[in-house]
Amino acid sequence: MNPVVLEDLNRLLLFIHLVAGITCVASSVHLLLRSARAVWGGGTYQPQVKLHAVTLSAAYLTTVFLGGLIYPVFRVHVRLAYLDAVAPWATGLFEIKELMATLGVIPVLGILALSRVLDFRHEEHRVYAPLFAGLAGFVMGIVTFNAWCGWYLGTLGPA
Amino acid sequence: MRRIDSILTILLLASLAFCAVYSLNPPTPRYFPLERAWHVTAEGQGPGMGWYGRSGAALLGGLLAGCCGYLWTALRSRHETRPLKPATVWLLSAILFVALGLTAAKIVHEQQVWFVKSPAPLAQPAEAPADSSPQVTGGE
Repeated sequence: MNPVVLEDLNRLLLFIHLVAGITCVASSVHLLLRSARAVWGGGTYQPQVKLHAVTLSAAYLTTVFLGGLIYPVFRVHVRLAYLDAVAPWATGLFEIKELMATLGVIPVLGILALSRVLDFRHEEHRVYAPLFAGLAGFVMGIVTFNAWCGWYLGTLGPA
Repeated sequence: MRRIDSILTILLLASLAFCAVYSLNPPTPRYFPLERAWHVTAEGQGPGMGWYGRSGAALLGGLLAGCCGYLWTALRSRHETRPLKPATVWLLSAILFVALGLTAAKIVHEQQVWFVKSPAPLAQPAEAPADSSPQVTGGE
């Protein structure tokens, strides 16, 4: 059988995918908390919101891109060889994870764009604060679910 | 139209287009990792991967809609300088979240086939004893 594309680099790519994923979780939680505080407590967290938005965007896009690169090896050596037959529910869980990751791309770009112009101290901008916090919550939901999913699927294996 | 209003408009149009293409899931090229080849139909050998094509088509749809939205808001900003009304911002935000929520629900719904499928034991190697079929464990 021919080796699957990028099989040699799979461990390295998987490690960077893991690091970027952890960064996603951390930055999304920070972003949601800071934006919620900015909404209800004033604009004191404006620089932090911008920083977390940039960090989240970079980490999220990196995670999705690397996930796409390592997917063929997983598809052949894990899903085809094991999950599809022995644990089909795990395949379903993984598919949801992958599809949800793509669903979060445009909201993440929206968070990045809004964070550049949104000023929580500006009275006319405050109407946008719930939208920003909602997008942050939506993305945090995706990254925490995907992080749990990635960890849990990694625990599955022949006893 | 203020810059922040333009961003909301572009974000909404891009998201709606993305969600529509993602939910409709039109025929797109599938990657076959064992062949290292792409096929539009299911003519490939071995496992196929539809995630790349589906994601690419939806993101392309979102990009095109976002570009149209950018041009529209740029033209509109020359004549319209009033900010969006708060009620309009709320309405557009609600439409955005409903679209995202419905798409997420569609994703979960279409994968339910995997959760009702009965697992089958792995094929046993010739030299393996009969009682060594693997068991799935989790949370260890």
